[in-house]
Amino acid sequence: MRLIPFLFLLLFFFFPLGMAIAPGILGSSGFTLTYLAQLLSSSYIQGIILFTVSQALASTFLALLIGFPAAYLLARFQFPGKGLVKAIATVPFVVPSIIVALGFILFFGNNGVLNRFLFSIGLPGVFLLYSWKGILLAHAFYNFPIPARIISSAWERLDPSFEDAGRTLGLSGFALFRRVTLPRLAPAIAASAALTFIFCFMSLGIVLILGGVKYATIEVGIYTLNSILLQPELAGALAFIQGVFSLCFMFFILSSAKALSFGESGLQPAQRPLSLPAKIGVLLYLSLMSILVLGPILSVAWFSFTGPAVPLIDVFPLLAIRNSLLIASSVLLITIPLSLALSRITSPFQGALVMLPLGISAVTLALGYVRAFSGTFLLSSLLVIVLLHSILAYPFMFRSISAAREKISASLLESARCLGANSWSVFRRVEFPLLKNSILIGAVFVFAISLGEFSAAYLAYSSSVYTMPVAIFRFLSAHDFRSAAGMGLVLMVISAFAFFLLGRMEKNERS
Amino acid sequence: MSALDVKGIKRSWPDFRLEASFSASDGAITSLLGPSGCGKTSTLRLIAGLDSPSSGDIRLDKKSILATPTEKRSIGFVFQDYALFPHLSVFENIAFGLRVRKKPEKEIEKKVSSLLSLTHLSGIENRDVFALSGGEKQRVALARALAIEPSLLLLDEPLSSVDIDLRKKLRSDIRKIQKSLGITTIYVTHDREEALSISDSVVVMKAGRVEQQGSPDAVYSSPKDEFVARFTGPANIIDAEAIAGGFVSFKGVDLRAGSKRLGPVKLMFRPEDSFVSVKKPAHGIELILESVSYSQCAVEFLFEGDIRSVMLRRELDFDPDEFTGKRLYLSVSRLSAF
Repeated sequence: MRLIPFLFLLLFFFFPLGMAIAPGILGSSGFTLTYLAQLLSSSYIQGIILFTVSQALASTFLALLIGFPAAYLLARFQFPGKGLVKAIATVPFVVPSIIVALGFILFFGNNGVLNRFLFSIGLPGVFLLYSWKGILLAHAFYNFPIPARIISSAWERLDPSFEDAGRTLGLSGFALFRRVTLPRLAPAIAASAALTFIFCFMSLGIVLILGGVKYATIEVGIYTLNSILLQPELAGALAFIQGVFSLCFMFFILSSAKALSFGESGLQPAQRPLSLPAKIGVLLYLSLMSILVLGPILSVAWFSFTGPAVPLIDVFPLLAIRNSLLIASSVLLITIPLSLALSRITSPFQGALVMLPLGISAVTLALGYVRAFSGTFLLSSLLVIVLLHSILAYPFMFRSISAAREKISASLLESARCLGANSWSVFRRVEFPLLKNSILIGAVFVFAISLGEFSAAYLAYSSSVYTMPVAIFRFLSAHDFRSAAGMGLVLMVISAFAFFLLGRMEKNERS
Repeated sequence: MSALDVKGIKRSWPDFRLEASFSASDGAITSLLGPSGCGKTSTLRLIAGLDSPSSGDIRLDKKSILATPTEKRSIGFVFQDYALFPHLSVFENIAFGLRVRKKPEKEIEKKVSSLLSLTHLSGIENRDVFALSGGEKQRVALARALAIEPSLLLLDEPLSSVDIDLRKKLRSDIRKIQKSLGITTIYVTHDREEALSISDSVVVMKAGRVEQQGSPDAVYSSPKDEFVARFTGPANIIDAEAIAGGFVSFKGVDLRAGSKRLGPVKLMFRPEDSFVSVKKPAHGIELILESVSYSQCAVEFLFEGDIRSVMLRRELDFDPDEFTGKRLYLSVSRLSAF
C-alpha cells in the first residue's frame, strides 16, 4: 500500500522523464557525450541557451525591481487600500501564462488598447511586442508577485531590534537599510529571485506567442528539435541540460529557504503612516502597477465583447471548457490522495525526490509521455493530460499538505490512538479535519494550474483533445482575437471563482 | 484488579538505553520520578504501546499486553502538552473515545456531563479548546482520558505547564478524582515535591534505570544511594565508618544508622533532622564554623575539615554569624547509611 504513490511517480514521472532524456545521453554503448557535444557546438543552440539565460536574468531583475517596492510598502506601511494592493499583486500569479500573453497582445500590441489610447491623444505609440522587450515585460508582470510576497513576509517577520540596535549605533535612513536591513533580507531576495529565474527559464507560452519567430528559449528549442526537426537525440540532450540547470537552481532555492526560517521574531515592527511626498510616490508607483496588471486583464474582457471576430475553424469552445473542467477535476482526484500519501514521508532525501517535478519542464515531460506511451490508449484520450497535469501540479498540493502536517504534533495522533482510534479512524477524525484547509488551498492552486497549463496540453496534442489554453492558442494563431479573448475571459472567471470560493471558505472557517 | 507489572523491559536508542522493572498496585498512584531525559516518558510510551520494548514484558492484571495494539489497550494517556484536538470543542474532545467506540448519543451525553462535573468543567463544554486556560486544558485532557473508563491512567508531567499557584490545587484534585474512581495511575514527574505528595509509591529513575521503588516516606527517609537521597530532597552526605550493631562512627561519635554493612559508608541526613548548638549535647559532633549562607528555609553551614557543608533548618537559638571560627556541635536525630 505504501508503495502505490511511489509506483505512480515511477510510472508517470521517472519513466517518461527517462524516455525523454535517454536518447540524448545514451548511445549504442552506454552513456555518451556525443549529442551533448554536438548540441553545444551548434551556434543555433548556443544562441538559444544564451538567450534563455539572459532573458531569464533580465526578467528576474525587472520582476525584483517591480516587486521590491511593493514588498516594502506592504511590510512597512499602513495605508488605505492596502488590501487592494495586496489583491492586485496576487492577480498575475493566478492568471495563466497564456492569458498573460493574450492580454499583452491586446493591451501592448502594435494596434492594442494602449497604443490606440496614445494615438488618440496625439502621442507616439509604444512597440514592445514580438521582441525581447515584450517577453521581459510579460515575464516581469507574471512573476513580480513572487518577490513581492516572499520579501514582504520576510520583512514583516524581521526582528525590529536589529534596526533599533543600528539606530542606537548612529545609523539612519539608507545607511541603516543597506547595513542592517538588506543583509537580513538577502536570503528572501535570493530565494525569490531564484524562483522567478526558474519560472522565466522554463517559460514556453509567453515566449512562443510574444517572441515571434526570432526568439526561442531552451523550452521552445526542445520542442522544435523533437517535433519539427525530428532529432530526438538532440532534444533529449537539450532537455538534459535544462534539467541539470533547473535542478541546481531548485537545490539553491531549497537551501536558501532553510536560511529564511532563521532569525524570525514574533515582534512586529511598527507600521508607519506615509508622509506626503511619499504618498505621491506611492500613488505613482501604484498607478503604474495597476496599469501593468489591470491593463492586459481588462483588455481581455473588453476584446471578448468588442474585438474583431474571424469566425472560423474547428475549435469548439464548449468542448474546450468541458475538457478543461473534466481534466482539472480529475487532476484533483489524483493529486489529493497522492499528496496525502506522499506527505507521510519524513526522510529529507525522499522529500526532495518528491519535489523533483518542479524542476522538470512541462515540454520535457510531455515529450517523454509521447515517447513512453505511444501506441497505448493513454495518448489518445484526455487521460494523458490528466496525468501530465497531476505530475506538474501535485508538488503544490504536497507542499501545502506537508507544511500543515508538520504542525500537527505527534501527541495528537498518539492520544487519538490511546482513546481507541485505529489508523483509519485517526485519519478520519483527527488528521483529515486538521489538514482540510491546506487540502482546500492546495486544491484551488492545483485546479488553477491545471486549467491554465498550456505547454503539456499543447504538446500531448491530438486534434480532438484540446483544453481552454490550447483553444486560446489556436484562436490566436488564426488571428481570431475575439474568440481568444472570450475563451480567456471564461478561463479567468472560472479561476477567479475558485479563488473566491477559497476566500469564502477560509472566512467561514474563521468565524 | 488492574495491577501493572513492568518486567525487565529493554529499549535502545542510538544515544540512550532504557532498562526498567517496577510494579504499580491496583488503585494506587505510582509516580516515576527522575531528571529530564532519564526515560520516564519513554517508559510511559512503552506501557501505552506507542513504542515497543526489544525484550521484557508489560503485564496488566497479570496478562501481557505487549501484543495488543495501543488502540485496544484501553489506557488513558494525558500528554504533557495535553494534545487536545484543536478542531473539536471541549465536549467533543471528551467524547472522542466514546464516538470512536460508536456509543449511543444518549450514553455519550450522560458520560461526558458526569465527567464535566467531576473535573469542574461544567458550563464550558462548548468552548474551543484553544480558548482555555492551562488548568482547564489539563482537566479536559484528564476528563477525555477518563471517558473511556481505562484500566490504567498514564499522566505525563500533567502539571508542568500550569502556574505554580494552581499546581497544588490541581494536584490534590487529581488525587481526589483518582481515589474516587480507584483507577490505577502512573504519574510521571521531575518534581520531587509533586511525586512525594501525590503518590502511594515512588519509582526513582536515573539514566534509563530504576534506582529505587518504595513509599514516599521510604525513598525520602531511607534512600538507597546518594542519587536518590539528593533527588528526593535536600540531603547532607558525609563519609563515615560502619561498626558493629548497625552503628556508624564519625569523629569518635557513635550514631545509630541501621547500617547492614561494615567499613566505609556514606551517611545521609536531612536538614530537618539535624541541628547545631553552642553547648555540647549527647552524641554531638564537634565542628569549627567557617561561614554561613542563607537560603529560603535552610541555612548552609560551612565547617572546617571533614564536613564541608551542612544544610540545616533556619530555626536557630543563636546568631551563627557571631560563631565563625568558633566551635559548634552538630546533632542528628535520624540518619541513613548506604
